[in-house]
Order: sequence, then C-alpha cells, then structure tokens
Amino acid sequence: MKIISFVIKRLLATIPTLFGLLVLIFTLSRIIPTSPVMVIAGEFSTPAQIKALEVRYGFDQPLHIQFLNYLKKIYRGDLGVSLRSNRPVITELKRRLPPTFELVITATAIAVLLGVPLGIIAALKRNSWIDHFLRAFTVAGVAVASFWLGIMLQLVFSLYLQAFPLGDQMTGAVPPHVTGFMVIDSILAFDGALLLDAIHHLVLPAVTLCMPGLASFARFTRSGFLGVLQSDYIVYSQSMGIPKRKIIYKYAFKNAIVATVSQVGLIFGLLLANTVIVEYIYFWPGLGAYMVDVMLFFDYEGILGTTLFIGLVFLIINIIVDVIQAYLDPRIVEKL
Amino acid sequence: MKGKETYLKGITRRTFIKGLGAGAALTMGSGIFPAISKSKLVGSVPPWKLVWSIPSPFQGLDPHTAGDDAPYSFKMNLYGQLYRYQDSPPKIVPWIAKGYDADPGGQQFTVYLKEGLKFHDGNEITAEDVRFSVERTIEMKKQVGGTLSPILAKDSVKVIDKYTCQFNLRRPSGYFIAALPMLAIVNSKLLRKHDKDGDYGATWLTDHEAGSGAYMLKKWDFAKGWVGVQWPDWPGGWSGNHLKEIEFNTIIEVSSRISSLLKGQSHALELFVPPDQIKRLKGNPNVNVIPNTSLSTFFIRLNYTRPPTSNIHYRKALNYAFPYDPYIEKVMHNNVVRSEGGPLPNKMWGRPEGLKIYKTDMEKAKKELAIAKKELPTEDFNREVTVKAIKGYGSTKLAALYLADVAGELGLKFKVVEEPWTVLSSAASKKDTTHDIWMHWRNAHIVDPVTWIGRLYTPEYQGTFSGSTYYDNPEVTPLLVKAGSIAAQDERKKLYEKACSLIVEDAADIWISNEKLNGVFTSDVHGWRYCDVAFGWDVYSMWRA
Repeated sequence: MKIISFVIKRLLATIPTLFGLLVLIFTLSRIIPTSPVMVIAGEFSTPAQIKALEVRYGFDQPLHIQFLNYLKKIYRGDLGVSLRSNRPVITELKRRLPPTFELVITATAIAVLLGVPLGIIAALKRNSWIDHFLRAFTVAGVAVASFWLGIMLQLVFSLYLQAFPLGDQMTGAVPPHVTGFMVIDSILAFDGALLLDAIHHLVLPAVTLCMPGLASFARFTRSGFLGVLQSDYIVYSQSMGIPKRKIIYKYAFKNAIVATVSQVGLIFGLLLANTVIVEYIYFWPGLGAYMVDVMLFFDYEGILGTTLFIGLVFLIINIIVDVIQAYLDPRIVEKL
Repeated sequence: MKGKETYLKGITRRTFIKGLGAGAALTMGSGIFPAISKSKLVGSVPPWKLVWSIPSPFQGLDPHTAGDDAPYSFKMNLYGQLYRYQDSPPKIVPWIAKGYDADPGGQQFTVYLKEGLKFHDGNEITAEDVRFSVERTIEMKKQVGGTLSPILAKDSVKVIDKYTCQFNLRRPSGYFIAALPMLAIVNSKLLRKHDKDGDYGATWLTDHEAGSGAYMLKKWDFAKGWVGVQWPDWPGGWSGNHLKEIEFNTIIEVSSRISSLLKGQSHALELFVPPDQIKRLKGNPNVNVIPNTSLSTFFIRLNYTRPPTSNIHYRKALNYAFPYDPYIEKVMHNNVVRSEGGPLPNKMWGRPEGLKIYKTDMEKAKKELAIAKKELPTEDFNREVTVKAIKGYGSTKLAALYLADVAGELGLKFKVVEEPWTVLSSAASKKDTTHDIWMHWRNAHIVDPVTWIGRLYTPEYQGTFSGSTYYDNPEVTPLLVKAGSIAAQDERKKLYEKACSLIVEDAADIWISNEKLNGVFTSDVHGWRYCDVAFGWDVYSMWRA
C-alpha cells in the first residue's frame, strides 16, 4: 500500500514538473531573437510574406496568448504541427521514438549486463591487475568522446573489417510495423533473417552509446560491493565458513546493487541525450537528429513537443527505478 | 573437500571448459559477422538502382513549400515544370510547355502546353493544373511562393483553353521565364480530392506526390528519404541506359556519408563535400570526382548604414585587406575560384567587361583606412566590429578569422562570433539588430542577375536577410528596379552592367569566391548531367555499369 501511494504521489508530482518545464522551454524559445518564419518562408521571401506567415501561425500575438493557445492544444492531446515539416508533432514522435528507445534500451541493457559484473569482478579482485585494468577502462569509457568512438568503430568494424553495417536500422527489407522496434517486430513476424539483421545493425550504435553508462555502472557497483564486503555481517558469514559464491550472490549482491539501481534512471537520461551524436553518426532515424533539426531551426512546436515527451519519459523511468529500489531495499519504503 | 580434477598443471576442469567455450565463441563470432556482411542479408545495391546520399534532412514532399536543398531531388525527378534548366551554363528548355508569347511590355505571357502529357495517376496535364499550381504556391507563402510573389498574384493565371494559359504579372518582369523552372506543376484534381479545410492538399502532399516526372514515388520515410521507380508512361521513354530505381537518403555526418560511398552503399554524394574530403576522395580509384564551377557565390556582407562600415573608404580598406588567395588555397583547397564578377557569378551575364575587382593590397588598404579615419568620428572608427560566422560552417568561421586578422594588422578591433543560421537570418531582417559584418552564399535558383544583385542591393528586400546590409544607393536602385521590370534583355544587360560597376566601386560587400561543386560518384556511375540549378539531381540520363 505504501508503495502504491508513493507511486501515485510521484505521478501527480510530474504534472507541475512538466508544466514548469513547458513554461521554461516556451519562454526560452520565444525570447531568443530569431524568427522560424523566415526559414520556412525561404531565401527569397518578401517582408510582406514573412508578416503574413507570422499572422498565420499566431506569432504576432502576445506571448501569454500564444502560451494559452498552446496549453489548450496540449489539453486536447495535440502537440501542434511542426513548422518545418507541416506534419503533426505526434506523427514525428511516433516515427522517431521507437528507433531511439530501441537504441537506448539496448545500450542501457548492455551497460547494466556488462557494467555490473565488471564492477563485481573489480571489487572481488581489488588491487589486482584486473582491478587496475577495469578502473582504467571505466575512466576511458567516461572520457572518450562518443563521436570519436562511433566514427572509429564504423571505420574499423564496418569499412575495413566489413563485419558490421555502417548505420541505419535495417538493410532493405523491414518487418511489418507493429511497435516500430525492429527487433520486436522481427520476432513478432517470426522472421529470423530480419531479426538477425536488426540485431546486427544495433551492435555498433549500441556499443558506442553504452560506454559512459557501462563505465558508471562498473564504478558504482565496484564501490558498492567494496563497501558491503567490509560489513560486519559479511565478515561473520565468512568466518562461519559459508561458501564465497553464496556470500557474494545471496548476501552481498542485493545490498550492494541498490546504489547502482538508483543510477539507472540517470544513466538512461544521459544515454537519451547522447543519442543525438550517435544517431548522427550511424544515420539512425531516431529522435536525436530530429531534436537537433527542430532546435537549430527554432521549430517551436517541435521543440515543445519533444521536450515535453522526453521530460515525461524521464520522469516515469525514474519512478520505475525508485520502485525497484524500494523493492530491493525495504527500508526505503519505511521512510516513505 | 575433494581435490579438484586438473587436466594440466594448475588448470581446473572448470577453467578449461570456460576457455574452450570462449575460444569457440570467438571463432564463431569472427566468422559469422563477416559472413553476414557479405551475404545477401546485408546485401549490395543492384546495378539498376542508384543511392544518392545527402546531408539535408527531408521535411516533406511538397514541392511548393519544402525548404532546404533536399526538395530539389524530388522536384527534378517526381515532378515537371513548364520550363526546366539543363546543363551548364544553364539553358532553359521547354518541359511541360512547348512555347510562349510575350507582350512587348513584359507583363503578359501566354504559355502553350504540350498536349497529351499526364500525371502519374493518369490525369492529363492541363492549363487548369498550371493555374492551380500558381494559386497554391502564392497562397502557401513559403519558399517558391516568395520567389514568385513579387511578380505573380494568386489570380495571375487565366485559363484560355485546355492547353493555353495566360500569365498577367503584377508588374512587368524581365526574369519571368527564368523563374518558371522553380514552379512544379501539381495534379490539381488529386490535391482537390485531398483538400483539408482549404489547405490545397498541403497536409496530404507532405507525405505523398502529385507529379508527372520520369520517376514515381515507391517508398517514403520522412526520417530517412525516398525511393522512386521508373514511371512506365514517361513520354521521354526508357530505351537506352537508365536507372530503374533511385533513392535519395539523408546521412548527416560527412564521415559516415563518405564511408557509405566507399563501401558501395551510396553511389553519389552531395555537390558540396568539404574540400579536404574531396582531396582524399580524388586519390581513390573507385571514386570519380567531377568538378564544376557553379553560379553559387560566397561573400561577406558589410552594413551600409552603421559606422564604421557605412563609410565607403572603410569598406574599400576591408576589400583591399582581405587575403583572397590564401583563403582560396589554404581554407578552400582551391575548391573555389575567385569572384571576378563582383556580386555576380563569373559565368553570369550582366558583368561588365573589364570590371576591376579588389585584390589584396595592404598599402591601398591603409590609404583607404586613413581617409576613413578622417571622415568618421573617432568613437565610430574605433568601435569594435562584430563579424558573424554561420555555426556549423567552418569555412565561414575561417573567413571571419582571416578578416579579423587583417583588420588587426590595420589596427582595427574585430570580434568573431558564431551563431546558427536561424538566429543570423532573423537578426538580419531588422535594421537595429542586423549585423555589422556577416557572410553567406547566394545560390542559383533563378538564373538571372536579379538573384544576385536585384535582391541584395535594392531597398525592396530590406526586412529579409537578402537586404540585411540596408544598402541603398540612389544611383544603383533605379537601375536595378528598371532592370527587373523590363523585358528587353539587351537593355537589362546594360542596366545590370552599370549597376554592377557602381556596386563594386561602392565596395558594398567583399565578394570572395564562386563555388566549385563537385560531383562525387562511385566509378560505375555514368551519364550525369551537371546543372548549376538543382544540383544536377535530375537522374533520368544516369545509369550504373
């Protein structure tokens, strides 16, 4: 019950958070001295044309009227029409979100599935050459620039070794659209060749994207484990002759992993932000490239719609992470 | 505890099995993925298909409103125009039209259509489609509408009969026919069917086509690009060598685009691949680089109304100081040529014979600056001048830095700032916020001097980025206004030549270069016809061996 009321409270709290975000982004985008109308009007537009377009799109209205009109649209579930493409923002998001989420979820999964065991190994082999190597590796993972890593992986594994595709989600054929996630849609279509192709295309972008997350998870897990391994109850268990494997996986793991789980939400957000660069390099048809486009050209509806949606996703992910943490550490529920 | 079994000294069974498993996985992995890469699953592009990768994203498929460069790909292949530019120097050839009559005043044009031409859905192309296309373009007020609205109104076109339409211009125009290639003729019946609240079918046309070009739309993904297939009923026919399928896709990152070409996934790239990459590609035996001097000009704009650049001698000093040759050699790797025509491209008519352009001469720069110093108030002369470069376009930043550097040698204070294009172009539309100095290109859309000097140096375009310097010379303006509004080409030529000379004498801007546009193709691509307009993206004549 406590956890349910916690979830409800957090969900309700997203409303003022999102409203604040909306106000901030709306104000920032409008106060920057630029006119997106000039871009859509074109290189040879006349002043009269620009004025007419400003009236058509309501940009001649006072800011608070423009904001109220936008809120009315949001209330109706309408995120507006993109100035650049003349397409509903929802349509743009529906097309571009699944590829981005497929990439981010895969990268997060790789980061967790590799980062946590590496962190455990580093903790168990503390001060050995394995520990030193892994620590250096994690520092490099955080420090290396995504664009450099992506280009290097493309050059080595795609261009020279011909082992992986250069970019995009699929080569040629795509599975029938159900979710927009190529892996899931391929499975639903029972097509092994397409599934293999989808996974094949995911490898390089996901590896590029996962590095900062993998490094963070490894470091957090290592320090969490080191802290737990020095606890009295662990020392007691060891002195009682309980096998080391049991101590690590039954007693230490659950307590050590709590701090790491709390990072999942943040890492997810970080990777979502990093998709911009990764999608550029691997011409991945996701949200990252679209976000850059709408921001560079001040496509107001596009900026607001994507920011709102990503804000909502980020908040929900963090609620889920908090719930998982509460499950792992019941003491957190007591404090609620 | 039992002792552990060992196979070799110090290696347990568990360790041995783990090692065996890892080795097997490595062996399989090193074999599987290259096998997949080479297999049909990843695939190579069949020889009857060409993939053209460009950096511009596709916003939509509406030929009247879609902006940036990407729309030319479908305007030239999915759509037809009354007239079209071909080759270089660009010639206007009749396309959907077969000819026209013009009244001597240059305000009324009667255009005759070829009979029996059809759209992809089988509807015949008639004068009503032309009338609808003009009305739609003007009413949409975007892109093409902007170019045509000075001379055409919504109701400018009258249908005389099924294949004849009459254009009654808002004012006499010498460049009307030169502007017609910008107007794609759309299927009025189809768009009326998909009209939503009087939007001229705009919502529908964003993701569909209503054209009559050699290719028809097969697949469209606004996040990636489009694929076209041969239209079987194309009047030009398909005998000889042609591509059955064409694809234009977006790869924003230049290194990825080039890798795609080298890997054979793309067969053509955009015409403005950076000069350092051109140098690298020229050495590759599987790549053809075909250079062409274009009508695209690059120049630095000088504010005409705000001191110190409001002073003619100050502007001349900058024109003499700019290091043209080092910029062309070191920054652009000789991928551009020096502007010999002042504001006009080197290949453009309207450039007077023997036009004296500015060459780097620091002594002359100092002399001009000394005069400017006497003429300007001290605080204006010594004011720090901001030079704006376009963010994301490294060559503009380098041009700005070169200018700031030579200005420093002359004892002037220049500051370089980079801003995105939207911010720059918006600020340039108001006198208070427009820039001291900034820079941009002018591409060929209408092959007429009006594109380069008619729109940049008359007050009519102040309030847009074209008129950002607020240039207003009482000797020049009447020449340009008259040249834009008469039909007699000989007289127009003389007017433009005179205006060009005056503008250069006025040192209105710093005209640096004409771009070379390089066709970059895999070596199996043939038949490309470069055109200064539309980037040579008409692929009808192309094939792959």
